[in-house]
Amino acid sequence: MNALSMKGITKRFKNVVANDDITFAVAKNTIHGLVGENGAGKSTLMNILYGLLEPDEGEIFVNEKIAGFKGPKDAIEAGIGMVHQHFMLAGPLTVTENIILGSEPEGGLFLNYKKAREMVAELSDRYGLIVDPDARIESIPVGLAQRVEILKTLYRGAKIIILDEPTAVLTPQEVRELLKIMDNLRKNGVTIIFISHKLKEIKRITDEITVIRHGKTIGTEPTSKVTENDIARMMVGRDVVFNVEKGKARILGQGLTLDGIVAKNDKGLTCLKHVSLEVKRGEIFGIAGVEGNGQSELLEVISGLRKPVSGNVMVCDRTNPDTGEKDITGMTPDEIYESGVAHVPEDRHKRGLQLNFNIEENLVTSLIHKKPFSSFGMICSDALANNAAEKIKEYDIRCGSSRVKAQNLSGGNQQKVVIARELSKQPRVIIIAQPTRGVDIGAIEFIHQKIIELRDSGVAVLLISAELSEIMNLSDRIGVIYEGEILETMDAADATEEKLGLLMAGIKKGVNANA
Amino acid sequence: MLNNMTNLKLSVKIAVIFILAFFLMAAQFTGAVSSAIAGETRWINVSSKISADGSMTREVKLSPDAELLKFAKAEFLGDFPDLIEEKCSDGLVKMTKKFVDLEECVGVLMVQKDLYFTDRYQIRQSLPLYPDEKVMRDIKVRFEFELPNGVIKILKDRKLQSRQLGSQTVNEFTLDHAGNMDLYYQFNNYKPITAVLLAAFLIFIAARMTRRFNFILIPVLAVLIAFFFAGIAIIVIGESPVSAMGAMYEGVFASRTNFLNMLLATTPLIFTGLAVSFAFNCGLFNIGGEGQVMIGGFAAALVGIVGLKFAINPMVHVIMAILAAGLAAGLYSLIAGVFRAKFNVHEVISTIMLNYIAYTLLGFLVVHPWFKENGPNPQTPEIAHSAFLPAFFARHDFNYGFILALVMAVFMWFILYKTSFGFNIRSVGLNAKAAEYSGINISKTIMLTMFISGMLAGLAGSERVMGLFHKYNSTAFVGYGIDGIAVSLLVNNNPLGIILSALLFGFLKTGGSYMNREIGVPVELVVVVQAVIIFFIAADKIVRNMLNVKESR
Repeated sequence: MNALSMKGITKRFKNVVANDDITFAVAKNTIHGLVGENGAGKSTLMNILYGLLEPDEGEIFVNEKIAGFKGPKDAIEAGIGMVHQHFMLAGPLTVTENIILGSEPEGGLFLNYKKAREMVAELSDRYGLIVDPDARIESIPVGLAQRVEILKTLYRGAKIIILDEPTAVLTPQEVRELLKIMDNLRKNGVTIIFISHKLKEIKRITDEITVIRHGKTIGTEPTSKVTENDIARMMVGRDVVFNVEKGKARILGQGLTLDGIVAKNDKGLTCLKHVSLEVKRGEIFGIAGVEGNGQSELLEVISGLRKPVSGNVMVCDRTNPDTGEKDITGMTPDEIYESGVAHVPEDRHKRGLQLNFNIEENLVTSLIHKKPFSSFGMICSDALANNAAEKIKEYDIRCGSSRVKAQNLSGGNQQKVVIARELSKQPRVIIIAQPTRGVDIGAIEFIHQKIIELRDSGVAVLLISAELSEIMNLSDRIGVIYEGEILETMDAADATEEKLGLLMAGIKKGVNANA
Repeated sequence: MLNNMTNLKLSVKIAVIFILAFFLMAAQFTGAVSSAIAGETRWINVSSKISADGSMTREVKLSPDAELLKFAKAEFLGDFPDLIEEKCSDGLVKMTKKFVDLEECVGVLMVQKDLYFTDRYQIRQSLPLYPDEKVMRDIKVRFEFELPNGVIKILKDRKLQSRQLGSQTVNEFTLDHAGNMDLYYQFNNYKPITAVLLAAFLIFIAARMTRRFNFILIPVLAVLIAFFFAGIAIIVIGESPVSAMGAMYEGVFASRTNFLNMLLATTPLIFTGLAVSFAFNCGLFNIGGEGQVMIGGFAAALVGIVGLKFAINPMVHVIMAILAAGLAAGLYSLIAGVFRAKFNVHEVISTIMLNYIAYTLLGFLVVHPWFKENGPNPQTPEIAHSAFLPAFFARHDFNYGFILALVMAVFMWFILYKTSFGFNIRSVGLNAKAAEYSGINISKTIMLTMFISGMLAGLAGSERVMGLFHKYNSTAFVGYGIDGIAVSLLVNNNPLGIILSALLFGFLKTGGSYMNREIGVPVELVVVVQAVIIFFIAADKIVRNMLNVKESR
């Protein structure tokens, strides 16, 4: 019997067909993987399943019964629960309070906290999701917060749980824990739909997968019958190279040096504690670490968006790089760009792009006042158009025209615009953060290649990513950041997932685990 | 198939709206509706024959209604004893009087030979306030003037003023020897209105076929739909909507004077609209237009007064006064800019506060012996003639300030969209974090933008002082800043669109006050009509929804 089956689901937004006749079935007590690139239509499909959208055509069957969801409430009553990629939890409230929020147990006028606690404890035991019912959300780690999200769905009687990109924010150990939990849930009669584009995990845990591409179902296969390459090919439509070819690094000399950087974050807490590192020209230095350990602030310090409390940032001279370093600590962002540093920011929507500007304009932000883009203060639109045409070709940016607004591009193409712009500054040093977040597999390949090219052309590359495989694949040397400190630096050849995973969780060599 | 059905439904909706509009006009044609609501109309026919020797013989014909007779005697014949009263064959009463001297002022009637042109007659006929408006509502007057050369001019359907507190109203016009009354359009002439409606309908059909002109079409249709709804309100109070709307139209297009009045009302709104729009493009809300206009006006007045002591070349004087106004208002606005850039004080609060400061400060200065004129009024002395903004025509204040406003609009558009400076401003406005990341100095950009924004508002003040009032007084400058906000928002802060938006507001203001003065539409209703029109244009989503036009992305 199928726990869930979707037949002929079609959804149109104006003239874009987000879901085109999607048909697949999920068997009971299985973990079903839903795989597809960004923009393939996975989110739309899940929003339809959860009752947030109504399909234009098609039907949904839950436990072989037809379902017409008018809203999430109907979906929840039918036993469907959803754990979103970005958690919907209230920080100051406790685990228990978050779980029962909106569906408090009957108790008259006052909250029957005792009863709630009991119910949460019982669920926790039954499904093996260990949490401290009285802990406040803001003080527990991300992996535990995710368990709370899952408990929320179980509390409301979910028999079918949708997990949307659950591993994006977890350390390798936490990922392993999650996979164990999913296995446990399956044993206890829960059906899981696992949305991810991380093929390794898909292979590891799912029973069956459905691949979606451009809004259409490409196929449903038992996991055991397909390889990662097969899945990637179904997702993209062609063969995909996973590991980028790279030769040995050719070190040219000093590039970027950080010396004892101490900085405070927006809350006034010290977030960088004497960070020192060196990135030579011609190498890629990757910083691994779970988000929120000071990476953002580190990037801001280097690029001039945040003044450090103490310490120095030095870069090689732009015109004569071998003649020693220039102190750029505390300079403004435009001065730092002039000094030969480029920056691909971690949040391209917030920092990297003006979404309401078109591609031509986004390719020249921070360069607009220079020739040939403007002369005597007036913008030369021809220069902008020519530049855009060039970059669109070089970076294979898929767009209708160079006048398309940035917000209408897919994530991968947006990222390409940012990279195209930063590289056009001909930097000596480049800091790249989360280059492939929200980017589809085809574009990931391209971006990785470009980063290697940069390194081979003698640029010092500082790479920060939450994607461990990316760090390990691209870097020549790796440092792990934890709570504002670089715990250890090593050659990429010596790094293993185990080693890095432990460091990312703060466990140094010779110190006992503290979890 | 789906598209065709939608188009059909759509066309039916439009057709219904237009048919209803035509019915409204037709109703007025027969007088059925307004008579039905307002009651029977009483007529007074006033014929005035002007002779070459300067005397005028006036004949008033009306039904033998005692109340009406009393009224007519007083208003049109001056209640003099040498009236000749006789009964006519058709039952009407005819009263005749000869006025010997053209200069003879009979209280409410005056005929003068135009001071500047000897072959024109300036005729002033005022219609006073009466306490019992119900009596006055259904009286209509028909004026006929016969000139010495035999040319006859007729004014039909003049309604009496039913409500205006305080003063009399004056119908003043000049007739040349050919009987032409400036650019006079026959009142309640349906042709222009019909033509406009038909044209709009045709444009609409064409646009639906080409899907190209929605962005102009929607506002035009919004105005028509608004007129329709306003018309309903007007019928309810017993006025004729076509008369009222016609009056609004006439109040702007019926004579050159009226048209120039509209342009005069438009000019300061272009400036204050630009001020708001420029700031908006940087994500800043400049609500300080009120105060900045005043500061600018005062500065211009000061420079103008200096010219009373020293002789200054007019061109230099004008430029100096304009610069002073712009600089003063710009610096005043910069205060809010600095507070926002350095201390993150929201400019909505600081600019509103600064408005109060400007108003009271200038109110004080203007009664201070240093700046006050010799006289009872709280205003500066009149500025030197060398500081007057040159006017286009004699005897009307419409001045070159209008040209400056148009130039500024184009210039601001150019700065925002064609220069790297404007690029940076818009960047900060759209996403300050991304702008900061790309190296733009947010602080500097904010301050510079507020300065320019204030400067534009100050120019409005200078045009008023140098082109219209020729002095600064503390009460005449209220409202321009606030209207500027509406002007700008109506066109989504686009500098070129502001020209059109300001023209609309100028039209509404001028037409509205004419509607009130001439036709007796109560002031409150005038404001309602204005508001309904602005509402429908601003809420273009409503119009689009009504017409099922999807918003273009």
